[in-house]
Amino acid sequence: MQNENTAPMKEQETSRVHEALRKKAQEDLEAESHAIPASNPFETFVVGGLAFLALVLCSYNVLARHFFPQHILDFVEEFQVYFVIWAVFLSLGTLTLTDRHVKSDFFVNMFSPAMKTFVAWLADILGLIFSVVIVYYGFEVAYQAYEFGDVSTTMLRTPLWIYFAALPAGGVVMGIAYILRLKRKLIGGGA
Amino acid sequence: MLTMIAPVFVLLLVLGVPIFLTMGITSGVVFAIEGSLTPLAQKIIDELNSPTLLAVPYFVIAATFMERGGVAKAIIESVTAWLGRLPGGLGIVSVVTCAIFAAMCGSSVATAIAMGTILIPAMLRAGYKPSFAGGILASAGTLGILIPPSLAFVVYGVLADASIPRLFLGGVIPGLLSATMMCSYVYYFAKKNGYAQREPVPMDVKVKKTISALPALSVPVIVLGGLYGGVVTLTETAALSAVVAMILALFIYRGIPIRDFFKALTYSVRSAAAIMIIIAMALAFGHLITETGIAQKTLELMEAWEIKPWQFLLFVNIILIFLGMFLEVFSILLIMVPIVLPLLDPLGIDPIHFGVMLVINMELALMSPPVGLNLFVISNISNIPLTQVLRGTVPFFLMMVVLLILVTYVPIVSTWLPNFLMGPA
Amino acid sequence: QEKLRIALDTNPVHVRNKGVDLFVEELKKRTGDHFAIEVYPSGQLFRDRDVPRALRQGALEMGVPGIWQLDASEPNAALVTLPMFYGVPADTVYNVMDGDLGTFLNRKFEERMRVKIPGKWMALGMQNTFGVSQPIDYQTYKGKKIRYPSGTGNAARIDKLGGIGILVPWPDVPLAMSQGVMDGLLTTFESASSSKLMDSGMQYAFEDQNMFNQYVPMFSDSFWRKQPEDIKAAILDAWDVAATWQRAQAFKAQDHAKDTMVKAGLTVIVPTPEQIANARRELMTIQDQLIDSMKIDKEVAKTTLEALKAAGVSF
Ligand code: NA
Ligand code: NA
Repeated sequence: MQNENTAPMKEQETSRVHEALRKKAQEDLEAESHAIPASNPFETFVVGGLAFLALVLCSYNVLARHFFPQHILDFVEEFQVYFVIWAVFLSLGTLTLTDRHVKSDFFVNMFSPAMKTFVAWLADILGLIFSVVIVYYGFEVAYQAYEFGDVSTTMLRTPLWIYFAALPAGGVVMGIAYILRLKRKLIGGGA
Repeated sequence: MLTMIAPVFVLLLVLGVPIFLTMGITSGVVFAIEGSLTPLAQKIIDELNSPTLLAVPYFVIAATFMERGGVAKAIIESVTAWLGRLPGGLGIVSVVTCAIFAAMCGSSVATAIAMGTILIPAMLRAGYKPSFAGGILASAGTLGILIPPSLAFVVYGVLADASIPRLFLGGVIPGLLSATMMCSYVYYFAKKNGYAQREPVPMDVKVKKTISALPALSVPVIVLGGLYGGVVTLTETAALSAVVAMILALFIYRGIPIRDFFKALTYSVRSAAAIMIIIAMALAFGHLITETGIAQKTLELMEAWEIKPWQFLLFVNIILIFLGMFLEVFSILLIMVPIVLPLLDPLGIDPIHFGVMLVINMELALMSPPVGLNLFVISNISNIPLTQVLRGTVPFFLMMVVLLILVTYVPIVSTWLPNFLMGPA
Repeated sequence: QEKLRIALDTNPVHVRNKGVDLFVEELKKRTGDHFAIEVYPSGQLFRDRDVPRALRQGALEMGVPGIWQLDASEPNAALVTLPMFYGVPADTVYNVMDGDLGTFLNRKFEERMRVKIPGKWMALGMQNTFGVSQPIDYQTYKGKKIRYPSGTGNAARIDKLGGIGILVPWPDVPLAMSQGVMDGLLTTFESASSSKLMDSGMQYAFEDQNMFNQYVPMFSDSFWRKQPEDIKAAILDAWDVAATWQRAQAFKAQDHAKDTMVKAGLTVIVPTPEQIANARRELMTIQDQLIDSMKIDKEVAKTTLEALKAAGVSF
C-alpha cells in the first residue's frame, strides 16, 4: 500500500491558470451546493406545477395505453409540450439571476479585473437587449397567431398563441433578471 | 455574410458571453439584415414544439433526482460486496458503478458527482493515490453520456433528425468497451502498485446489499426495457425515468425530503432550461447555416480538394478535440452539428456512427484541460487538486482516444447493435 | 438576382420534390437567371407545419404543404378531409375540386394566409389505412392505435371508426411500429414503400381510401405582388407544366409502390363498395358537428356534398 507522499511539493507547482480555474470551479459548485438552491414560491408553484402535471399526464397515458386503452387522454401529447416549454421559459428569470447560463469563461478568467468588469457589463447589456428583442418579436409572433387564428391540427385545435406566448413571457422574466443584475452591478459595486 | 458574422461569434464566445446569447445575437444580426427578426422568434418557438425534444428536460429532471436522491449508495454497496475483493477493487467498483449509474442517468456530471462523493473518500481511506482515485471517477463518470440513456444522444438526435433509440444502442458497445478498458487498467495499476485487497464479504451480506440495491438496479430494466421492449416512446421513456427517479429519491432511498420535492423539481427544470435555451438558439442558428448554403460550398471545396470521408472524419475529430479543451460539451455539440450535419449524407457517413463518434469526443472534452467539467467536479467534491485529478485521467484519456479512433474508423463498432436489434436503417 | 426559396419537408427522391424540381427547371427556361432559386428538401429550412407562418413573415417565398397541414391556418382546408370525401376515388375528387370547391379553397387560402396559389395542386395519392402486425378493417378497427399525419379531419375520422388517433413524428414511425406504440397508420402506398415500413413490421393494407392527399402550392403574397406581369405569367406557366406532369407521376408512383409491396408480402384488404358506403354513412353523422366546431363554410360544404352526390357518391 502506498500513498502519494510527494503530493504537497507537486501542488506548489500548480500553474496559475489551473489555480484560477479551480477557484472558479469551487465557486461555481458552491453556488450550486448540494443542498437544493431555493427558488421563489411563485416559481416553485408554477414551474414545478407545470412540470409535475406534464409528468403525471404522460405517465398516466403510458399506464392507460396498456391497461385501459379506452381512457387514453388525447390531449396529453400536445399539452405536455406546452406545459414543459412554458415551465422552461418561466425558469429563464432565476436562471439568469443566479448566473447559471452556460458560458465559456476560460479566457475571461485570465483577464485583468477591469477587463473582467467590462466583459460582465457587456454580457448583461447584451442579455438585456436580447430579452427586449425576444419580448417584442415574441409578442408579435403570438399576436399574429392570434390574429390569423392559427390552431393545432389535432382534435383539440388549440389556439397556438397560447403556446407561442411562452416566448415573450420568458423574455419578460429574463429581461427583469438582467435589469436586476445590472442594478446590482451599479449599486453593489460589481458583485 | 458568414465571414462577417463568424468573428462576432468567436469574439462573444471568448468574452464569456453565455452561449445562448452568442448564438442568439449572431443569428439575430443576420435575420435583421435579411429583413426581420419575426422569423427568428417564430423559428425558436416552432422548433421547441416537438414531443421528442421533451426528452431533454425529462432526462435532466431524472438526473437531478438520481444524483441527489441517495440512489448511489445502494448501488455502490452492492457492487462493492461482489467486486471489492479484486486487486484495485474499489477502483473497479467505481468503473462498474459508474457504468450502472450511466444506464439509469443521462448526464455525465451527475454520474461523476453521485459516484465520486462516496467512492473517492472510500478510496483515499483505503490508501489509493489521490490522482488515481480522482482520475478514475473523472473518466468513468463520462460514461454517463455514452451508455444509454444519454442527454447527449437526445440532443444530437434532435438536431440531426436521427433516430435516438438507434443512437442509444450505438453507444452500448463502445460504452462497454470503454468500461472494460478502464477496469483492466485499474486492475493492472493496482497490481503493479501492490494495493491491498479487501476482506472477502460473506454471501449473506452480498445478498442483503444486492436486495437493497434492487430498486435502483431495476431502473435500467424498466426504462430501457420499456423503450426497446415496445412499451413506451422515447419521450415516455424519459418521463418514466424521471418519475422512477422521484419515487426512489423520495420514498425508497429518501435522499430528498418530500417537503423539498417541488423545490427540487423547479431546480431541475431550471437546469433543463439552461440546455433548452441553447438548443432553441442552435436550431435557429442551424437554419441560418442551411440558408447560407455554406454546406454546399464546403462540399464543393472538399470535392475540389478530393477530401475522402476518412480525412473528413479525422479533421472533424481534431477540431472537436480542440474545441473540447475550451468549451462546455453541449455548446460544442450545438455549435458543431448544424455546421457539419449537411455534409454527412453526401459523404456517405452514417449519422448514427457520426453521433457515437461525436459523443466520445464530448467525453474527452469533459476530461481534457483546461476546461473539463468532470475534472472540476471531481476536484471539488474530493478536494484533490485539479492538477492531480488531471494527471490521474491521462491514461484513461489515452484509452478513450484509442476508442475514438476505433469507433471513427470501424463504424461497425457503433452501428452493429442498432442494426442487429432494429433492422438496417 | 431575386431570392426564391422553396421549402419542402420530404426527401429529394419524393414525388413532390421531383415535381418541384421540374417547376424550377421550367421556370429557369422561362426566366433565365432572374431568380436565385434554392430548394430546401427534408425540412431543412421549414417543416410543412410551419410553412404558412414562414410565408407570411417573409422568411420563405414558396412552399407546397400538404392540405392536411393547412386547416391549422384556414379551417376550410378541412373540407376535403370531411367524412363526405371518405372512400371517394381520386378522379371523382378531381372532378369536384375542378368545380367551385377548388376556386373557393384557393381564394380562402389567398385571403386568410396572404399567399398566392399559382394553380393546380400537386398529388401525393390516396391515403389508406395500414395495419402493423394485425389486419385492420371495419371489424377490427375498434381500439386500434392509429397514427395520422396531423389534420383534424383525420383525427375525427379515426375517432368515429372506433380507433385511437395518435401523433408520432414521421422519423419515429418505424420504431413506434416495431414497438407496438401504434397498431396502424394512415398513409399512402408510396410513403409506406419509400420509408420501408414493411421492414419495421407493416403487413397489412386496408384500402378504405380515407382521403385523397394533395399538396397546395403557395407563394408569399409580398413576393408575388412585386413580380412584373411577364414573370408572373412565366411562373404560372411553369407551374402548370410541372403540376400536370407531377400528378401523372404521383399516380404511377403509387401503383408502382403498391405492386412492390404486394410482391414483398403485403396483404391488401379491399372493402366492398357497400362496406365503404356504410362506413361513410356512419362517418357522416359527425360531419355537421365538425363543420360547426371547425367553423367551416356551411354553404360550400353543402354545395360540395351536392356535387359529390351528382358525381355518383352514395350517402
Ligand atoms: Na447514460
Ligand atoms: Na475540456
